[in-house]
Amino acid sequence: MSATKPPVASPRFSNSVNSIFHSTIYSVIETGLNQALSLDPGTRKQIESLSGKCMSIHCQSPRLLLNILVCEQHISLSGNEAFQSDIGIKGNASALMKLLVTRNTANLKQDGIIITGDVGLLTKFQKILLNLDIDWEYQLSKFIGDIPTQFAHDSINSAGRFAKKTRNNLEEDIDNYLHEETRLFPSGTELKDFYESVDALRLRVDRLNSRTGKLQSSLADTISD
Amino acid sequence: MSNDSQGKTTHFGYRQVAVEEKADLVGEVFHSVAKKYDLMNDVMSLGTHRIIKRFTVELSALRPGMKVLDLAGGTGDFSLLFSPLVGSQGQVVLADINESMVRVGRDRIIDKGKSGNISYTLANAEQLPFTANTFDCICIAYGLRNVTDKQAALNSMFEMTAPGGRVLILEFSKPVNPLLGKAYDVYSTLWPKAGQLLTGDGESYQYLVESIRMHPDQETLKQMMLEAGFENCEYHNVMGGICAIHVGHKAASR
Repeated sequence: MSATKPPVASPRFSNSVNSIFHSTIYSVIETGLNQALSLDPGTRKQIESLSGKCMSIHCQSPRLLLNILVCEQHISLSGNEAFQSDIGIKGNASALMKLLVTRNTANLKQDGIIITGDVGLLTKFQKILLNLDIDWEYQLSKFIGDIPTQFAHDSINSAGRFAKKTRNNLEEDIDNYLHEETRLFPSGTELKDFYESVDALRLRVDRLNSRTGKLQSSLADTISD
Repeated sequence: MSNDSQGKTTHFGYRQVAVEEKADLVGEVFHSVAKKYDLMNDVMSLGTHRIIKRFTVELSALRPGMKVLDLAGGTGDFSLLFSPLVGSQGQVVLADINESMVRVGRDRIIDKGKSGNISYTLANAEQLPFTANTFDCICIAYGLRNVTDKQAALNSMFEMTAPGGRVLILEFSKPVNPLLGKAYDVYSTLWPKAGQLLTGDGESYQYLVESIRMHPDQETLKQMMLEAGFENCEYHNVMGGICAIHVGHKAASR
Protein backbone atom coordinates (compact mmCIF):
# COMPACT_ATOMS: atom_id res chain seq x y z
CA MET A 1 0.00 0.00 0.00
CA SER A 2 1.44 3.33 -0.96
CA ALA A 3 1.90 5.71 1.91
CA THR A 4 0.51 9.21 1.74
CA LYS A 5 3.16 11.37 3.33
CA PRO A 6 1.89 13.79 5.96
CA PRO A 7 3.43 17.26 6.05
CA VAL A 8 7.14 16.94 6.73
CA ALA A 9 8.01 17.92 10.28
CA SER A 10 10.47 20.71 10.75
CA PRO A 11 14.04 19.49 11.04
CA ARG A 12 14.55 21.85 13.96
CA PHE A 13 13.61 20.29 17.25
CA SER A 14 13.86 23.23 19.60
CA ASN A 15 10.19 22.55 20.42
CA SER A 16 10.93 18.89 21.08
CA VAL A 17 8.49 17.56 23.63
CA ASN A 18 10.47 14.48 24.39
CA SER A 19 13.52 14.18 26.54
CA ILE A 20 16.09 11.80 27.83
CA PHE A 21 13.46 10.61 30.29
CA HIS A 22 11.11 9.58 27.49
CA SER A 23 14.02 8.06 25.64
CA THR A 24 14.75 5.82 28.63
CA ILE A 25 11.13 4.70 28.87
CA TYR A 26 10.97 4.03 25.12
CA SER A 27 14.18 2.06 25.35
CA VAL A 28 12.67 -0.24 27.98
CA ILE A 29 9.41 -0.67 26.04
CA GLU A 30 11.30 -1.24 22.79
CA THR A 31 13.42 -3.96 24.37
CA GLY A 32 10.30 -5.67 25.76
CA LEU A 33 8.45 -5.39 22.47
CA ASN A 34 11.32 -6.81 20.43
CA GLN A 35 11.77 -9.56 23.00
CA ALA A 36 8.08 -10.42 22.64
CA LEU A 37 8.43 -10.35 18.85
CA SER A 38 11.38 -12.71 19.02
CA LEU A 39 9.09 -15.21 20.78
CA ASP A 40 6.45 -15.01 18.06
CA PRO A 41 7.94 -15.93 14.68
CA GLY A 42 4.57 -15.57 12.92
CA THR A 43 4.08 -11.94 13.93
CA ARG A 44 7.75 -11.23 13.23
CA LYS A 45 7.24 -12.38 9.68
CA GLN A 46 4.09 -10.28 9.33
CA ILE A 47 5.71 -7.18 10.70
CA GLU A 48 8.42 -7.43 8.09
CA SER A 49 5.83 -6.49 5.47
CA LEU A 50 5.67 -3.06 7.15
CA SER A 51 9.44 -2.54 7.06
CA GLY A 52 10.35 1.10 6.58
CA LYS A 53 6.91 2.33 7.68
CA CYS A 54 6.58 4.70 10.57
CA MET A 55 3.53 5.51 12.69
CA SER A 56 3.60 8.64 14.83
CA ILE A 57 1.38 8.96 17.86
CA HIS A 58 0.98 12.51 19.14
CA CYS A 59 -0.63 12.51 22.55
CA GLN A 60 -1.95 15.97 23.37
CA SER A 61 -2.63 15.50 27.06
CA PRO A 62 -0.16 14.63 28.46
CA ARG A 63 2.01 16.01 25.63
CA LEU A 64 4.03 13.16 24.20
CA LEU A 65 5.30 11.96 20.86
CA LEU A 66 5.98 8.35 19.96
CA ASN A 67 7.26 7.22 16.58
CA ILE A 68 6.93 3.50 15.90
CA LEU A 69 9.29 2.53 13.10
CA VAL A 70 9.44 -0.97 11.65
CA CYS A 71 12.91 -1.97 10.50
CA GLU A 72 12.58 -5.42 8.96
CA GLN A 73 11.83 -7.68 11.97
CA HIS A 74 12.71 -5.06 14.54
CA ILE A 75 10.56 -2.31 16.04
CA SER A 76 12.16 0.97 17.00
CA LEU A 77 10.54 3.61 19.20
CA SER A 78 11.61 7.23 19.25
CA GLY A 79 10.39 10.68 20.18
CA ASN A 80 12.10 12.70 17.47
CA GLU A 81 9.84 15.35 15.96
CA ALA A 82 11.97 15.51 12.82
CA PHE A 83 10.86 12.01 11.90
CA GLN A 84 8.82 11.81 8.73
CA SER A 85 6.01 9.39 9.42
CA ASP A 86 3.65 7.57 7.06
CA ILE A 87 0.71 7.92 9.40
CA GLY A 88 0.13 10.40 12.21
CA ILE A 89 -2.45 9.90 14.97
CA LYS A 90 -3.31 12.79 17.24
CA GLY A 91 -5.56 12.71 20.28
CA ASN A 92 -5.68 12.61 24.05
CA ALA A 93 -4.37 9.72 26.11
CA SER A 94 -7.69 7.95 26.83
CA ALA A 95 -8.87 8.06 23.20
CA LEU A 96 -5.49 6.79 21.97
CA MET A 97 -5.47 3.94 24.49
CA LYS A 98 -8.99 3.00 23.38
CA LEU A 99 -7.84 2.98 19.77
CA LEU A 100 -4.79 0.87 20.52
CA VAL A 101 -6.55 -1.82 22.53
CA THR A 102 -9.73 -2.16 20.49
CA ARG A 103 -10.28 -2.81 16.82
CA ASN A 104 -12.98 -0.20 16.61
CA THR A 105 -11.95 2.59 14.23
CA ALA A 106 -15.53 3.70 13.50
CA ASN A 107 -15.86 6.47 16.08
CA LEU A 108 -12.48 8.13 15.66
CA LYS A 109 -13.94 11.57 15.02
CA GLN A 110 -16.24 11.30 18.04
CA ASP A 111 -13.27 10.43 20.23
CA GLY A 112 -11.41 13.51 18.98
CA ILE A 113 -8.73 11.55 17.11
CA ILE A 114 -7.20 13.11 14.02
CA ILE A 115 -5.46 10.85 11.53
CA THR A 116 -3.17 12.07 8.76
CA GLY A 117 -1.57 9.88 6.13
CA ASP A 118 -2.25 6.27 5.25
CA VAL A 119 -5.19 5.03 7.35
CA GLY A 120 -4.85 1.49 5.98
CA LEU A 121 -1.48 1.33 7.69
CA LEU A 122 -3.14 1.95 11.07
CA THR A 123 -5.35 -1.10 10.59
CA LYS A 124 -2.30 -3.19 9.65
CA PHE A 125 -0.31 -2.03 12.70
CA GLN A 126 -3.31 -2.66 14.96
CA LYS A 127 -3.97 -6.10 13.54
CA ILE A 128 -0.39 -7.24 13.95
CA LEU A 129 0.09 -5.85 17.46
CA LEU A 130 -3.23 -7.24 18.71
CA ASN A 131 -2.51 -10.66 17.25
CA LEU A 132 0.81 -10.96 19.04
CA ASP A 133 0.79 -14.56 20.20
CA ILE A 134 3.89 -15.32 22.19
CA ASP A 135 4.94 -18.95 22.09
CA TRP A 136 6.23 -18.86 25.65
CA GLU A 137 5.85 -22.61 26.13
CA TYR A 138 8.42 -23.34 23.41
CA GLN A 139 10.85 -20.80 24.86
CA LEU A 140 10.35 -22.08 28.40
CA SER A 141 10.80 -25.70 27.27
CA LYS A 142 14.26 -24.80 25.94
CA PHE A 143 15.32 -23.89 29.49
CA ILE A 144 13.41 -26.30 31.74
CA GLY A 145 12.47 -29.17 29.39
CA ASP A 146 9.19 -30.48 27.94
CA ILE A 147 7.59 -32.14 30.98
CA PRO A 148 8.03 -29.23 33.44
CA THR A 149 6.76 -26.89 30.70
CA GLN A 150 3.64 -29.04 30.23
CA PHE A 151 3.13 -29.00 33.99
CA ALA A 152 3.55 -25.19 34.06
CA HIS A 153 1.13 -24.89 31.14
CA ASP A 154 -1.53 -27.04 32.87
CA SER A 155 -1.08 -25.21 36.18
CA ILE A 156 -1.42 -21.79 34.56
CA ASN A 157 -4.47 -22.92 32.57
CA SER A 158 -6.22 -24.36 35.62
CA ALA A 159 -5.31 -21.22 37.61
CA GLY A 160 -6.80 -19.16 34.77
CA ARG A 161 -10.02 -21.24 34.77
CA PHE A 162 -10.26 -20.95 38.56
CA ALA A 163 -9.75 -17.17 38.37
CA LYS A 164 -12.44 -16.84 35.69
CA LYS A 165 -14.92 -18.96 37.64
CA THR A 166 -14.21 -17.07 40.87
CA ARG A 167 -14.68 -13.74 39.10
CA ASN A 168 -18.01 -14.85 37.63
CA ASN A 169 -19.23 -16.11 41.03
CA LEU A 170 -18.13 -12.94 42.72
CA GLU A 171 -19.91 -10.77 40.16
CA GLU A 172 -23.09 -12.80 40.60
CA ASP A 173 -22.91 -12.63 44.41
CA ILE A 174 -22.34 -8.88 44.42
CA ASP A 175 -25.22 -8.45 41.99
CA ASN A 176 -27.56 -10.48 44.18
CA TYR A 177 -26.48 -8.71 47.36
CA LEU A 178 -27.02 -5.22 45.92
CA HIS A 179 -30.37 -6.04 44.33
CA GLU A 180 -31.98 -8.52 46.70
CA GLU A 181 -30.38 -8.11 50.13
CA THR A 182 -29.75 -4.40 50.53
CA ARG A 183 -32.31 -3.31 47.92
CA LEU A 184 -29.91 -0.51 46.91
CA PHE A 185 -30.74 -1.03 43.23
CA PRO A 186 -33.97 -2.14 41.59
CA SER A 187 -34.07 -5.52 39.89
CA GLY A 188 -34.27 -5.91 36.10
CA THR A 189 -38.03 -6.76 36.20
CA GLU A 190 -38.83 -3.75 38.37
CA LEU A 191 -36.87 -1.52 36.03
CA LYS A 192 -38.70 -2.94 33.04
CA ASP A 193 -42.10 -2.27 34.70
CA PHE A 194 -41.00 1.23 35.60
CA TYR A 195 -39.90 2.03 32.04
CA GLU A 196 -43.15 0.57 30.65
CA SER A 197 -45.26 2.75 32.94
CA VAL A 198 -43.16 5.80 31.96
CA ASP A 199 -43.82 4.97 28.30
CA ALA A 200 -47.57 4.55 28.94
CA LEU A 201 -47.66 7.84 30.81
CA ARG A 202 -45.87 9.59 27.96
CA LEU A 203 -48.42 8.24 25.47
CA ARG A 204 -51.32 9.38 27.67
CA VAL A 205 -49.79 12.83 28.06
CA ASP A 206 -49.36 13.04 24.30
CA ARG A 207 -52.99 12.06 23.73
CA LEU A 208 -54.16 14.56 26.33
CA ASN A 209 -52.06 17.23 24.68
CA SER A 210 -53.54 16.58 21.25
CA ARG A 211 -57.05 16.50 22.69
CA THR A 212 -56.50 19.87 24.43
CA GLY A 213 -55.21 21.28 21.17
CA LYS A 214 -58.31 20.01 19.33
CA LEU A 215 -60.66 21.48 21.97
CA GLN A 216 -58.83 24.83 21.86
CA SER A 217 -59.13 25.03 18.09
CA SER A 218 -62.86 24.12 18.14
CA LEU A 219 -63.43 26.72 20.89
CA ALA A 220 -61.66 29.32 18.80
CA ASP A 221 -63.91 28.41 15.82
CA THR A 222 -67.10 28.77 17.96
CA ILE A 223 -66.03 32.21 19.22
CA SER A 224 -65.26 33.45 15.72
CA ASP A 225 -68.67 32.26 14.46
CA MET B 1 46.81 27.65 21.27
CA SER B 2 46.20 27.09 17.62
CA ASN B 3 44.31 24.48 15.68
CA ASP B 4 45.44 25.91 12.38
CA SER B 5 47.47 23.46 10.35
CA GLN B 6 49.85 26.34 9.64
CA GLY B 7 50.35 26.89 13.39
CA LYS B 8 53.18 25.31 15.31
CA THR B 9 51.32 23.95 18.31
CA THR B 10 47.96 22.68 19.44
CA HIS B 11 46.60 21.56 22.79
CA PHE B 12 46.89 18.06 24.11
CA GLY B 13 44.92 18.34 27.31
CA TYR B 14 46.51 21.32 29.04
CA ARG B 15 49.85 20.80 27.29
CA GLN B 16 50.93 22.50 24.08
CA VAL B 17 52.35 20.04 21.57
CA ALA B 18 53.40 20.19 17.94
CA VAL B 19 50.42 19.79 15.59
CA GLU B 20 51.81 16.67 13.95
CA GLU B 21 52.40 15.03 17.35
CA LYS B 22 48.84 15.27 18.64
CA ALA B 23 47.35 12.40 16.60
CA ASP B 24 50.08 10.04 17.85
CA LEU B 25 49.67 11.15 21.44
CA VAL B 26 45.87 10.71 21.29
CA GLY B 27 46.52 7.36 19.61
CA GLU B 28 48.65 6.25 22.55
CA VAL B 29 45.92 7.23 24.99
CA PHE B 30 43.32 5.13 23.19
CA HIS B 31 45.66 2.19 22.56
CA SER B 32 46.09 2.16 26.31
CA VAL B 33 42.44 2.42 27.31
CA ALA B 34 40.79 0.48 24.44
CA LYS B 35 40.18 -2.78 26.28
CA LYS B 36 38.61 -1.21 29.36
CA TYR B 37 37.04 1.74 27.54
CA ASP B 38 33.42 0.67 28.14
CA LEU B 39 34.02 -0.12 31.80
CA MET B 40 35.57 3.30 32.34
CA ASN B 41 32.71 4.98 30.48
CA ASP B 42 30.32 3.38 32.92
CA VAL B 43 32.39 4.57 35.86
CA MET B 44 32.86 8.13 34.57
CA SER B 45 29.26 8.67 33.52
CA LEU B 46 27.68 6.55 36.27
CA GLY B 47 26.04 4.48 33.53
CA THR B 48 24.21 7.41 31.97
CA HIS B 49 26.20 7.23 28.73
CA ARG B 50 23.95 4.40 27.57
CA ILE B 51 20.82 6.56 27.83
CA ILE B 52 22.58 9.50 26.19
CA LYS B 53 23.67 7.30 23.30
CA ARG B 54 20.17 5.98 22.88
CA PHE B 55 18.81 9.55 22.83
CA THR B 56 21.40 10.50 20.20
CA VAL B 57 20.37 7.56 18.03
CA GLU B 58 16.75 8.74 18.25
CA LEU B 59 17.85 12.07 16.80
CA SER B 60 19.41 10.32 13.81
CA ALA B 61 15.92 9.62 12.34
CA LEU B 62 17.39 6.67 10.41
CA ARG B 63 15.22 4.47 8.20
CA PRO B 64 15.87 1.05 6.65
CA GLY B 65 18.22 1.25 3.68
CA MET B 66 20.12 4.34 4.83
CA LYS B 67 23.89 4.66 5.13
CA VAL B 68 25.41 5.84 8.36
CA LEU B 69 28.97 6.62 9.36
CA ASP B 70 29.87 5.95 12.98
CA LEU B 71 32.90 8.18 13.13
CA ALA B 72 35.34 7.70 16.00
CA GLY B 73 33.10 4.69 16.56
CA GLY B 74 35.58 3.01 18.88
CA THR B 75 34.08 0.06 20.66
CA GLY B 76 31.05 -0.05 18.39
CA ASP B 77 28.26 1.04 20.78
CA PHE B 78 26.66 3.27 18.17
CA SER B 79 27.16 0.85 15.29
CA LEU B 80 25.28 -1.78 17.28
CA LEU B 81 22.41 0.65 17.79
CA PHE B 82 22.39 1.83 14.17
CA SER B 83 22.59 -1.63 12.65
CA PRO B 84 18.97 -2.80 13.24
CA LEU B 85 17.64 0.62 12.20
CA VAL B 86 19.14 0.60 8.71
CA GLY B 87 18.49 -3.11 8.21
CA SER B 88 20.08 -5.49 5.74
CA GLN B 89 19.67 -3.04 2.85
CA GLY B 90 21.43 -0.25 4.75
CA GLN B 91 25.03 0.12 5.77
CA VAL B 92 26.88 1.13 8.91
CA VAL B 93 30.54 2.07 8.63
CA LEU B 94 32.48 2.05 11.85
CA ALA B 95 35.47 4.34 11.40
CA ASP B 96 38.14 5.21 13.92
CA ILE B 97 41.65 6.57 13.65
CA ASN B 98 42.84 4.12 16.28
CA GLU B 99 43.50 0.52 15.33
CA SER B 100 43.13 -0.85 18.87
CA MET B 101 39.71 0.71 19.24
CA VAL B 102 38.52 -0.64 15.86
CA ARG B 103 39.79 -4.10 16.79
CA VAL B 104 37.92 -4.03 20.11
CA GLY B 105 34.79 -2.72 18.35
CA ARG B 106 34.96 -5.24 15.54
CA ASP B 107 35.49 -8.20 17.90
CA ARG B 108 32.62 -7.06 20.07
CA ILE B 109 30.25 -6.68 17.13
CA ILE B 110 31.21 -10.06 15.69
CA ASP B 111 30.80 -11.68 19.11
CA LYS B 112 27.27 -10.31 19.26
CA GLY B 113 26.57 -11.73 15.80
CA LYS B 114 25.56 -8.37 14.39
CA SER B 115 28.15 -7.95 11.73
CA GLY B 116 25.83 -8.31 8.70
CA ASN B 117 25.58 -4.69 7.66
CA ILE B 118 28.55 -3.21 9.53
CA SER B 119 31.93 -2.58 7.93
CA TYR B 120 35.08 -1.24 9.54
CA THR B 121 37.74 1.20 8.50
CA LEU B 122 40.67 3.11 9.90
CA ALA B 123 40.07 6.72 9.00
CA ASN B 124 41.20 10.17 9.97
CA ALA B 125 38.19 12.40 10.58
CA GLU B 126 40.01 15.35 9.01
CA GLN B 127 40.34 13.57 5.67
CA LEU B 128 37.56 11.03 5.36
CA PRO B 129 38.33 8.42 2.70
CA PHE B 130 34.84 8.12 1.20
CA THR B 131 33.02 9.38 -1.85
CA ALA B 132 31.39 12.76 -1.31
CA ASN B 133 27.64 12.86 -0.52
CA THR B 134 27.58 9.24 0.66
CA PHE B 135 26.10 9.11 4.14
CA ASP B 136 22.55 9.90 5.22
CA CYS B 137 23.84 10.37 8.73
CA ILE B 138 27.27 10.88 10.25
CA CYS B 139 27.61 10.49 13.97
CA ILE B 140 30.70 11.33 15.98
CA ALA B 141 30.37 10.64 19.67
CA TYR B 142 32.99 11.64 22.21
CA GLY B 143 35.49 11.86 19.36
CA LEU B 144 35.62 15.40 18.05
CA ARG B 145 37.57 16.78 21.01
CA ASN B 146 40.45 14.42 20.21
CA VAL B 147 40.73 15.61 16.62
CA THR B 148 43.63 17.99 15.99
CA ASP B 149 41.87 20.25 13.48
CA LYS B 150 38.20 20.19 14.38
CA GLN B 151 37.15 22.57 11.63
CA ALA B 152 38.83 20.38 9.01
CA ALA B 153 36.95 17.37 10.43
CA LEU B 154 33.63 19.22 10.25
CA ASN B 155 34.36 20.27 6.66
CA SER B 156 35.19 16.70 5.73
CA MET B 157 32.02 15.42 7.44
CA PHE B 158 29.98 17.98 5.55
CA GLU B 159 31.45 16.80 2.27
CA MET B 160 30.61 13.15 3.00
CA THR B 161 27.05 13.87 4.14
CA ALA B 162 24.44 13.20 1.48
CA PRO B 163 22.15 16.11 0.57
CA GLY B 164 19.25 16.04 3.03
CA GLY B 165 21.40 14.12 5.50
CA ARG B 166 22.43 15.10 8.97
CA VAL B 167 25.38 15.07 11.29
CA LEU B 168 25.19 14.32 15.00
CA ILE B 169 27.95 15.37 17.36
CA LEU B 170 27.80 14.05 20.90
CA GLU B 171 30.49 15.53 23.06
CA PHE B 172 31.25 16.69 26.55
CA SER B 173 30.43 20.37 26.84
CA LYS B 174 30.06 23.22 29.30
CA PRO B 175 27.54 22.83 32.15
CA VAL B 176 24.94 25.60 32.07
CA ASN B 177 24.68 25.91 35.83
CA PRO B 178 27.96 27.10 37.45
CA LEU B 179 27.22 25.10 40.60
CA LEU B 180 26.80 21.93 38.56
CA GLY B 181 29.99 22.88 36.72
CA LYS B 182 31.90 23.01 40.00
CA ALA B 183 30.48 19.69 41.19
CA TYR B 184 31.34 18.11 37.84
CA ASP B 185 34.89 19.51 38.00
CA VAL B 186 35.36 17.94 41.42
CA TYR B 187 33.89 14.64 40.22
CA SER B 188 36.09 14.55 37.13
CA THR B 189 39.23 14.93 39.23
CA LEU B 190 38.45 11.40 40.46
CA TRP B 191 38.63 9.89 36.97
CA PRO B 192 42.42 9.61 36.72
CA LYS B 193 42.42 7.84 40.10
CA ALA B 194 39.62 5.52 38.97
CA GLY B 195 41.50 4.96 35.71
CA GLN B 196 44.66 4.05 37.62
CA LEU B 197 42.68 1.63 39.76
CA LEU B 198 40.72 -0.09 36.99
CA THR B 199 43.04 0.06 33.98
CA GLY B 200 46.41 0.82 35.57
CA ASP B 201 46.67 3.95 33.45
CA GLY B 202 45.83 7.17 35.26
CA GLU B 203 47.65 9.43 32.80
CA SER B 204 45.33 8.66 29.89
CA TYR B 205 42.34 9.64 31.98
CA GLN B 206 44.10 12.80 33.07
CA TYR B 207 44.23 13.64 29.36
CA LEU B 208 40.51 12.88 28.97
CA VAL B 209 39.65 15.28 31.80
CA GLU B 210 41.84 18.01 30.37
CA SER B 211 40.63 17.51 26.80
CA ILE B 212 37.01 17.89 27.95
CA ARG B 213 37.82 21.25 29.51
CA MET B 214 39.64 22.44 26.39
CA HIS B 215 36.75 21.49 24.07
CA PRO B 216 34.73 24.35 22.55
CA ASP B 217 31.44 25.19 24.28
CA GLN B 218 28.00 24.66 22.75
CA GLU B 219 27.71 27.96 20.87
CA THR B 220 31.29 27.87 19.54
CA LEU B 221 30.80 24.38 18.16
CA LYS B 222 27.49 25.41 16.59
CA GLN B 223 29.27 28.31 14.84
CA MET B 224 31.95 25.92 13.59
CA MET B 225 29.24 23.66 12.15
CA LEU B 226 27.61 26.60 10.38
CA GLU B 227 31.02 27.56 9.02
CA ALA B 228 31.44 24.04 7.63
CA GLY B 229 28.18 24.49 5.69
CA PHE B 230 25.62 22.73 7.89
CA GLU B 231 22.19 24.31 8.20
CA ASN B 232 19.49 24.36 10.88
CA CYS B 233 22.14 23.62 13.47
CA GLU B 234 20.77 23.03 16.94
CA TYR B 235 22.06 21.53 20.13
CA HIS B 236 20.54 19.61 23.02
CA ASN B 237 22.10 20.05 26.42
CA VAL B 238 22.14 16.76 28.25
CA MET B 239 22.44 16.58 32.03
CA GLY B 240 22.61 20.35 32.37
CA GLY B 241 25.19 20.77 29.61
CA ILE B 242 27.76 18.22 30.83
CA CYS B 243 27.20 16.73 27.39
CA ALA B 244 25.68 18.30 24.33
CA ILE B 245 24.29 16.78 21.16
CA HIS B 246 24.70 19.04 18.14
CA VAL B 247 22.62 18.32 15.05
CA GLY B 248 23.31 19.89 11.67
CA HIS B 249 21.66 19.31 8.30
CA LYS B 250 22.95 19.42 4.77
CA ALA B 251 20.49 21.13 2.43
CA ALA B 252 18.62 18.70 0.17
CA SER B 253 19.00 20.78 -3.01
CA ARG B 254 22.65 21.62 -3.36
